[in-house]
Amino acid sequence: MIENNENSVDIKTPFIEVRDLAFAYEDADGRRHEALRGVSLSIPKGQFVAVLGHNGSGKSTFAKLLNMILLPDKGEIYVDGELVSSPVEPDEDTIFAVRRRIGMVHQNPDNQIVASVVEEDVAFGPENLGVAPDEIRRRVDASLDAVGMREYALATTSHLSGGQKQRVAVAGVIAMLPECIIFDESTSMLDPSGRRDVMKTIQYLNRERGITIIHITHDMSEAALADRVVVLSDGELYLDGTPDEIFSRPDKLRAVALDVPQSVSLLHELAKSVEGFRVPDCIKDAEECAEYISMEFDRLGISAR
Amino acid sequence: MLQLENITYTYGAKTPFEKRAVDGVSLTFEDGKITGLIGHTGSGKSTLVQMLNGLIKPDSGHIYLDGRDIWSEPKKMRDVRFRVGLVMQYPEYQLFDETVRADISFGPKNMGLTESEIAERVAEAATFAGVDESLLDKSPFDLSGGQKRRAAVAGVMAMRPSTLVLDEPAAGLDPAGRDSILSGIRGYCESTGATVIIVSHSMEDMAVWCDNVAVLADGKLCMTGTREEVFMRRDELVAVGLGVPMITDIAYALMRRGFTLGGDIYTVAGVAKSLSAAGGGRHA
Repeated sequence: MIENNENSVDIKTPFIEVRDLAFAYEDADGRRHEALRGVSLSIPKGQFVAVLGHNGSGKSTFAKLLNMILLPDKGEIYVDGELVSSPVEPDEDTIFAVRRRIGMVHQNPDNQIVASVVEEDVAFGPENLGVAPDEIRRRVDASLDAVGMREYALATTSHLSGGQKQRVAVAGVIAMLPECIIFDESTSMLDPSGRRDVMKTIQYLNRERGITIIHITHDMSEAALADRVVVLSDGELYLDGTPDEIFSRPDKLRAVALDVPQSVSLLHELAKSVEGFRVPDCIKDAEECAEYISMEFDRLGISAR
Repeated sequence: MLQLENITYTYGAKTPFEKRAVDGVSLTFEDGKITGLIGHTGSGKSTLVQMLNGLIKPDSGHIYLDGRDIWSEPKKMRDVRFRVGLVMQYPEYQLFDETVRADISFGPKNMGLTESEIAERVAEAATFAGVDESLLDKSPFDLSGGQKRRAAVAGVMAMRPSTLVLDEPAAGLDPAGRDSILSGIRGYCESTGATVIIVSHSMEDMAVWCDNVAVLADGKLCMTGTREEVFMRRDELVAVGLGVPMITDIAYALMRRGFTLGGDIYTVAGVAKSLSAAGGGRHA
């Protein structure tokens, strides 16, 4: 695991690479607030990256810079090896090309859904790209299949549940055939079953379709599903590693207002209070966590039964 | 105390989109307790919450506040709204005044309190909600997300409502911000003896901060009881689109392996305590 700003260079060509990215907002009184201060990061094609950070850490600014909703004050963004964004104003063609390749799903699906019928909403993106009608039909059906919403193709969008709406929003992005999708706290407004469905969709798109995923979240158990966890704090890269590496440091995460999944938290508590209890190297789901504790107690000759 | 008696509410009655959002719900919210109201999206939580302070009127049934039907004298609804404080989702979007202090004062000022009473209420509410003294003279728009949320909650607490209702008070906050706001609400409940109702999608937060839990599914009350009684019914919760905290799933998995876990299986601290009691603590 690396700390601070010394990112290791990936062997493969990165799909997204940012170098020394900085951005500051100006408030009404003209004071500058530095949201990002020199972040360098490279994300290989097909990786599932979770981005964590406290409120105001710069997560959403980072997402908006990648999607070119904002332009950096300093630093460069490369997509597939090509410089697309620097403080120099890029041309419109570049912006649109990047937004087609890097799609974005927002926090509230109501801000993203534009049509009143599900399939018309999904068709909105490809229509704007000038895709031929029969190709649009094919993409709409395939996108709705990918998110498990095909049977709702003719449903009224406003009558769907939050999780269903969010999956329609995802389908609308997939229909533009992006190579990468940024989820900006897209699960935060959903109920537990809506979250489960959206997380399954994300994993499917990543594993089966090879789409690069950048998932911004406050939910530690969602981050545990990623290949890699990037932690931002006060606009800087704070930690970068696999979920196992990141979550093995609860104190370091808590110092920046974050936490670890409950399974990890329990294992660390036991290491403190039970003589000889060892914390395993990798994250456990509920079942594995119980199995590990059971084995560890047997090894230590403790009976809790 | 707030009691609901067989309340029902239908959206779009007599149209093709007719939907019974709340269907015959009877429920008592106890004083000095936090009740978690949980349910899948569209289960009727938000509709129910808007009926608690008379923002919408039930089609049938009664809502009793300290024994009196809140709709018996609709002209006195203003008084009901001072007594039942409602913090809506993302309440920071409702901040409007020039300073945080002025914003928190808005409610007590409308209640016709004197300057000194208002000052006292502002100080008290700011303490409960965790709004630092140094922020009171700032513009609410210069605060961070978590600070804005706490200022908005303080604005409702300043009316010193005997019933405090909060719709997703921790949504979108980072873990530290989440714990800070929820512990402030716990503090308000314990020191004022108020009836507190929290709507949330986070089973983890509900398990840590609530005394009682009520579960809505498709507009009907499907479970109610203490935190322990409700989270014991794991499979039923999953069936209505919810679940139990991960730590509770771990506890059940341990019990299937023959572990005896007494007491609290709803928080990490609780499970760790039972397990380390068996292990003989290094710090014991």
